[in-house]
Amino acid sequence: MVTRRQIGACVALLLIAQAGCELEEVVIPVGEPVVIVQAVMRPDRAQQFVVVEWSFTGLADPDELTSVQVPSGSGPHLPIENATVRVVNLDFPTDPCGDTTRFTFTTGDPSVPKLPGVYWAPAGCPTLRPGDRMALTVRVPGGSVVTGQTRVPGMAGATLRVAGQTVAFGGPDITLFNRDRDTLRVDVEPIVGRLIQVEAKRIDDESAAAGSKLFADTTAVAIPGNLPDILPGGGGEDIFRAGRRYALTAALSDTNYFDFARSRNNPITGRGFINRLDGGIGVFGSLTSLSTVVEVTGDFDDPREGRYLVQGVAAGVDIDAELLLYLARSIDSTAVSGFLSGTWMMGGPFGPEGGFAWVDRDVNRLSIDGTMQGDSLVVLVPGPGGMAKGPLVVRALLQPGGPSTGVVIDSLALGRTAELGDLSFEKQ
Amino acid sequence: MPASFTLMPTAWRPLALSALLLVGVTATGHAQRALEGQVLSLADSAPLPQVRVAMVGRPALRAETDTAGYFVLTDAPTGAFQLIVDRLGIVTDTVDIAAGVSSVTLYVAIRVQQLAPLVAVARPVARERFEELAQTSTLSLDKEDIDAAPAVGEADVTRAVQLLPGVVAKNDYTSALNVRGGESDQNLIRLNNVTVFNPFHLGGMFSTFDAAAVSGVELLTGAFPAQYGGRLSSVLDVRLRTGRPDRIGATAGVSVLSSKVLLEGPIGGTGATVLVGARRTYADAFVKAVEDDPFTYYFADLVASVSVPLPGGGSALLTGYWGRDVLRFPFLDPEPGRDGIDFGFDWGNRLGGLTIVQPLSDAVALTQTFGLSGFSAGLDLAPDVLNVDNDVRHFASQTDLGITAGAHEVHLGAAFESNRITYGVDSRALEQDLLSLGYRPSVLAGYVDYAWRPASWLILRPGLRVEHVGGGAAFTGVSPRASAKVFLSENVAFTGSVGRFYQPINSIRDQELPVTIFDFWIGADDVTPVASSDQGVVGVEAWLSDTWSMTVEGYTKSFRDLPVPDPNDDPKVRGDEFVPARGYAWGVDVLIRRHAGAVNGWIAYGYGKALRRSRIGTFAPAHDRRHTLDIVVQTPGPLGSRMSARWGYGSPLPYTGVIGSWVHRDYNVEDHTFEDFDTESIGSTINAQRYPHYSRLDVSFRWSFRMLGGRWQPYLNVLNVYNRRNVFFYTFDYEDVPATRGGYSQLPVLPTLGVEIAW
Repeated sequence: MVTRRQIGACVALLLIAQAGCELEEVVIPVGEPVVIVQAVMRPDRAQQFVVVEWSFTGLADPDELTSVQVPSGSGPHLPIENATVRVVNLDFPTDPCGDTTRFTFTTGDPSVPKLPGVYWAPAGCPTLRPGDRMALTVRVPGGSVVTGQTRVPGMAGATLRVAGQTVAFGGPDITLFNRDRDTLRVDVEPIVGRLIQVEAKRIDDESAAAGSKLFADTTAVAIPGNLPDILPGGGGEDIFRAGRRYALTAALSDTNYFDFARSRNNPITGRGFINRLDGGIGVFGSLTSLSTVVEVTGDFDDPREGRYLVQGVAAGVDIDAELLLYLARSIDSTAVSGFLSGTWMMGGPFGPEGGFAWVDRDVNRLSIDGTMQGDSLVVLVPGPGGMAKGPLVVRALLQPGGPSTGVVIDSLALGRTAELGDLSFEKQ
Repeated sequence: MPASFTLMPTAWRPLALSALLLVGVTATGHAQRALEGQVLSLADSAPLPQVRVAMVGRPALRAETDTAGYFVLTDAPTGAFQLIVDRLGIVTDTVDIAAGVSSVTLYVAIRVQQLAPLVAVARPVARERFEELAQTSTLSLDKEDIDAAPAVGEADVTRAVQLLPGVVAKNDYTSALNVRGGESDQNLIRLNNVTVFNPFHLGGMFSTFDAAAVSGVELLTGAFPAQYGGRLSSVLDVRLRTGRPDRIGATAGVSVLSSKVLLEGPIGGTGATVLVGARRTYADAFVKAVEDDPFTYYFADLVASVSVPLPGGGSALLTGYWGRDVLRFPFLDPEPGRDGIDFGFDWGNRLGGLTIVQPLSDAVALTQTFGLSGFSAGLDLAPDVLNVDNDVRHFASQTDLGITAGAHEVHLGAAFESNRITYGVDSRALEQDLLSLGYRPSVLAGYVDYAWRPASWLILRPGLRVEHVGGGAAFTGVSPRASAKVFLSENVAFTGSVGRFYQPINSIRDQELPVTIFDFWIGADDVTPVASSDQGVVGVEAWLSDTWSMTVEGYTKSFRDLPVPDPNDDPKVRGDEFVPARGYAWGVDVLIRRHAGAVNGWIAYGYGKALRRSRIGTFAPAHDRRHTLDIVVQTPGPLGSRMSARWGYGSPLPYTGVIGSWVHRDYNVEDHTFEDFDTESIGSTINAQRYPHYSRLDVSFRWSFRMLGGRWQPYLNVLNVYNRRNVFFYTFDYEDVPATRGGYSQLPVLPTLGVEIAW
């Protein structure tokens, strides 16, 4: 979301940066600690959590602290421990979870990480129904109390229209579209809620961080397939790359989350963020979502792009596959992606004598990544465990207009022969 | 609920009303004229620049000769009258102008400086005003003052105005004016009687008025008379020069900021004159010449005035202005197979105006003013990713009937104003209409302004203005105004003014930011109130000699329904863009000025206090400066130059301190996780802190000589001579151990030079 003032302020700061002379830095007293609370209640998720931490005051250097996803990777920078965190469903006095749901440091469930500053509710609690008002109370050691309320959003459904197809979110369908020609149109049918957040995240690579996000203060949004991600953090990369598969998530949020997502404090005045909490800063919002999967193809614009027939024998396995190869239209234009279909290979089970065997493997539009430097192609083909677990490497020199050859390499050779065999590449 | 516009079923009405008013003008008699002339040296017929020419008994009717000695009085009476001609260095003279004469050549004697005590003494315009006018808080600068005030690159009109008492400039990077505790949007800024919106380039760094085309400015810092409406705090009247009547003339200028050219001259033998000026910055061209940098910023403006004598002694003055700032750079570079995204931001003004002065008899004159003024801004991420539009269109017409009878002078008037303000934000790529907002306030006003001199020691000036604001507001306001002047002697007078003022359109830009690109205007409607202010001014004006004057004025102001931006505004809710605030301001302004002499200038001191109260709290506005002192001296300088020096001091201005920072995380829906996204400052109580004291010394040297058939005027400005690091704004880093404060300073020592050549 872009507001009028944000636009003006951004441009003004741009000009200021051109004009000013920096002042010498001076040490200032420690700031005033403020309780920061960030929580988004999800009726479509079993496990709710609340993040409670202190603001930075000059007492701790966050560079020396963990800074990743919370709570999947770590807790917050300056966690507040031993806080009392409670949520009440004001519209459901007979909530089977009880009058009050207490969020605690640990739930007893080993799959839920214990992270300082992250407070968990029992699975399935509190009950979150569309339209319910939820009240949060966080009491931190020392007496500070933070409170907030959210109204739980709900949607009757969401649909995706692209390339003449209409697909309901939440179903098993995989939707194919051409990023260079098609536009995805997402429609949400709200019961109650405010903001649509549409998220596209690659699903073939577990190392992929956050996906691209789009926000719309309506119930529908269109996403051109070739749109770059220009939001902060997006880095100008394309939202969709051909040869990849994405989870497309349509979310509907309450107004608290809407304000949290759209507003920022001005660096000069320290004001601008729309804070709906009392006694602290942050968000107590709620959001519900549905997902679907899209598979992205594209036009072949570069002569090196195209459909290749990959054949050969490697480590005794007959390989006969088709590779759809795309160059990225992104900042790194040497990146390639694609789909591999047909008979490929993978490491087999250890035999009775403990030997290692390679066996054939049928793949169907397996998403691959790689680079293309000139005509030199390097492709990583993920194994059944994903990209992080021993991908095979294919190196090839693509000859324009003629047959090309390559080699497949075991990336985790561990003393064995790395080169597994030769491959031929024939452009179709 | 998004606001939407209805089509304009009444769009023709302003034009129709204006047409009717115009018919009214042309149907009445003709009893005024334009008087053009040239002032030459009696000894050698050399043209004399900067000579003041004014009508005896009517000091407001005045002009100043340009570099070729020419002047034009656009609304001189048709009957016989007297002109007084004065300037330091000439013998002041009074000249009889016969009825019907439209062009004169005046020869005056050069006064030898050593004999000054023996010759007549010049009578500055301010002295004439002192003797004839009951109006407090009136300040004026002529072209000489504007040119002499040191500025970045070249002379700047509003920078010069910032040196007057009662005016606070928040920093070196803004030309915006905060007058006597008012916000910068409370100033009625007019170019030849036409309202100008956001009259600044480069985020307020430079004013849109090219000083070469300006003959002078008049600033009313408060309690202004009934002819003026629509703003709460001040009126800044900028007057363009008229073209020289004898021949084609040209002026060219080159500075580190811009290049400009100005052409002027007569139009055939019609008696009409034209002046056209154009200016453009070239920093972008310079950068491109040095390196291949696609970043582009420039501004350009074009100004024109046409003065036409009308039959019967009337005159018409046509004014036009166009200005544009353009900022462009690649937001996302193109890559093979992918187009780039370009950031573009351009904004600017355009206006056209017509002022007709038509004498109906020796005692009655009708003045008719029409003005079309617009401001537009567009920001886009091209192609089609984001498009932001703001458009302000303003039409105004005013009819003033002036009647003079002995000690009585009455002005009766009617005014109509139509405004159309729109904002739109959309993304065609995302098929999103993000914001659509509009305001259409119109104002119909009538006024009477009556000046009466019942005795030689007393001038009374009561007035009344009645305004009806339509376009959804359905507001009617009655604004009584009154001024009085009591002469204790021929050189000392007490003055006082009171009045009520209304403002139907306001800016909701964040006034606390040190620099903003432009104002976001909103208009009164069913949810947006009309802002108002009550003001009182008392003072004393004394003339210590023929050239020295001193004015001391105390003022008090109260404001109601000022729109303070509401950071919590919801784009789908109309009317929550602001929080209505009350305001108070009081203070004392002192001006000691030497109007003429080899060494002249002024000392301006202002003591002020301002306060705002809203549901956000009670706070001092960002321009709440307790003490402001400006000392401006113009004197002969080294190497035959004319030197100007200005030393300015400002006591600390308020700012909002920062008490820490927090991690504003991004939420991933798919993963149900937060991730680190941005670290943001946490502000403390609004404007509870104060920056350090401010001071700055500027000097300027200007030489003048003839060469290659033209008059060359090279100049050198040095700003912030002792390189004081005045604080622009602070930055805070609470993620360091220990916490630190940095920031940016205002202008460092900055020498700039340029030259103007006139043919």
